[in-house]
Amino acid sequence: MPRIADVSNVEKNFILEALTSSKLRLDGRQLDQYRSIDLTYGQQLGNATVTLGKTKVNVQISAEVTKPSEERKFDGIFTITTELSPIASPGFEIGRPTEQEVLLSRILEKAIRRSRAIDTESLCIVAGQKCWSVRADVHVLDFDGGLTDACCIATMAALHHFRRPEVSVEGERVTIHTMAERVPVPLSILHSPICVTFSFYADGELVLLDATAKEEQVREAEMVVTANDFEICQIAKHGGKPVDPAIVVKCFQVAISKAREMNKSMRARLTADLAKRDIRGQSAENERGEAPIG
Amino acid sequence: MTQVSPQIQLHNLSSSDGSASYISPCSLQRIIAGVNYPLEVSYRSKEVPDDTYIEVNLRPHNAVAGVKEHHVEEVVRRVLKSMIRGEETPRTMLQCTLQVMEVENDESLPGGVKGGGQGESYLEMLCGGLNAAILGCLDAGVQMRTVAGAVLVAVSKSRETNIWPSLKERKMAKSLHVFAYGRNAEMLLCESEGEFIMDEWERAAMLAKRAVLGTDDAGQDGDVEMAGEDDGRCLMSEIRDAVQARVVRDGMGGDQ
Repeated sequence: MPRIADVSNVEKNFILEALTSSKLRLDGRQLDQYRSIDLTYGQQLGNATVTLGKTKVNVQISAEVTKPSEERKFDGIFTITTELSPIASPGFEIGRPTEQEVLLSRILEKAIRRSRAIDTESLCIVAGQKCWSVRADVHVLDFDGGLTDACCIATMAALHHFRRPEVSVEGERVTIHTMAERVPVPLSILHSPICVTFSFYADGELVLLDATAKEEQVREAEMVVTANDFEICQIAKHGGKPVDPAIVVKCFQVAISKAREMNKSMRARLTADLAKRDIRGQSAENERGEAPIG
Repeated sequence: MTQVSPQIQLHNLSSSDGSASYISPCSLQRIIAGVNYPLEVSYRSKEVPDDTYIEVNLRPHNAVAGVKEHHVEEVVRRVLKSMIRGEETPRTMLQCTLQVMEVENDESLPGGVKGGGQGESYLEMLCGGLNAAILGCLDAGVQMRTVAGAVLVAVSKSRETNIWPSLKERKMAKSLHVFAYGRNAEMLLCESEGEFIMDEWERAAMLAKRAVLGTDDAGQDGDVEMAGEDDGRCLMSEIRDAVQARVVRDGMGGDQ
């Protein structure tokens, strides 16, 4: 069974020694400094690629019309699919989800879908009969730590970018208009959650942001905090050493400010991209869609 | 004839042993390939005593792999098997993952998201997937007998042959063909779909050969570059340039 190479004891000691004694990281970053984040949009709407250092994630959003579930007749469907393939690292296998993969998809699910970032009610076309099923496919292309953060940014960036075809309802008849016929509409996004992963070292005394794969392997505990521009949406700390509550509270402040920062740069990048492709008045649509995010 | 050619970039991922991105010239199709080689075979029963076991995974951009993807995987695997010197690394595995990043949406369809759907022709995906896989192997340093390139050809209702047909041309076409040619003008793959007569097929094959290798007489001596230089850009010279660009980039990285 393939697996990612473990960090050797010598290397582990080196990383920890540098961190605890002189607060130095392998790549010379500050403890709370992210690697450079680059967001690029594909040719199609709803396709975003995020690189975070060497980590590279591509997200594709697609939508189709289906029947809503029996229990939720007034809601559309929104799903996030995450699968790690060997392209990202030889340690990942197809068809055999690792613990890491399960945790990643659950955190994304909790951070984006269950925090109701997408207004699923707006995806309903005819109650109980027809609704939009929006699907986010997260493809991890390259892995060097910070997977949760990169996936979350990429998914949100792609969701903001996506446009679904316009539909009109006349009685029982539902017409889906082609992209050429009517200007496609953006999704109704209620807020924009961003995941910030904290790694703890030296009994929780040292807190690192955006750990690389090597730093992730030697950490004592991790905590994923999801925040939007105003508040915390989700906290996940699965095991690891206990951390002092005072430090955790400090992390929340950091998470909110980081989320604000990232949302700001994401929006700037999005506006630039949509302005570039303003062929069918999509930037006017954009303003309408952007309004509730504030 | 001004010929369009695909955009190729080698080694754009860091974790895979070899990787390549391929953008098709006829649509917005973008495929990224990651090749890991040599690896230990994960299941003992798949181990081949005197050959390399090849695993191809094709992952569509917006769904889980279906029948169409598995078929393409199998065809790509068979072509790779004929190209790779597997006997050099027996009892190992070559793992090739092809990730479709984007496909062209057919905007005349409501919803416009059916580009990669199960009902569509698999030939375009096969063409892109095969090229990406070969480039990935090239980047991973896999020992190969030959280097090959695949092209898509459409024969229209008026019996015209188009190389790299656009989405509209593909929809209007009477038949679609994918041809893969090796460096010495040997045909490694031909897959066809639709209705056609032998004459059309031969013309399509001829056109494909020229698109891969350059002029017609190229390949007799195996020297592609000289012949391909004057007649637009052929696929082989495109591959050559991509490899060159990678070597140059590597060299610069080493100097720093």
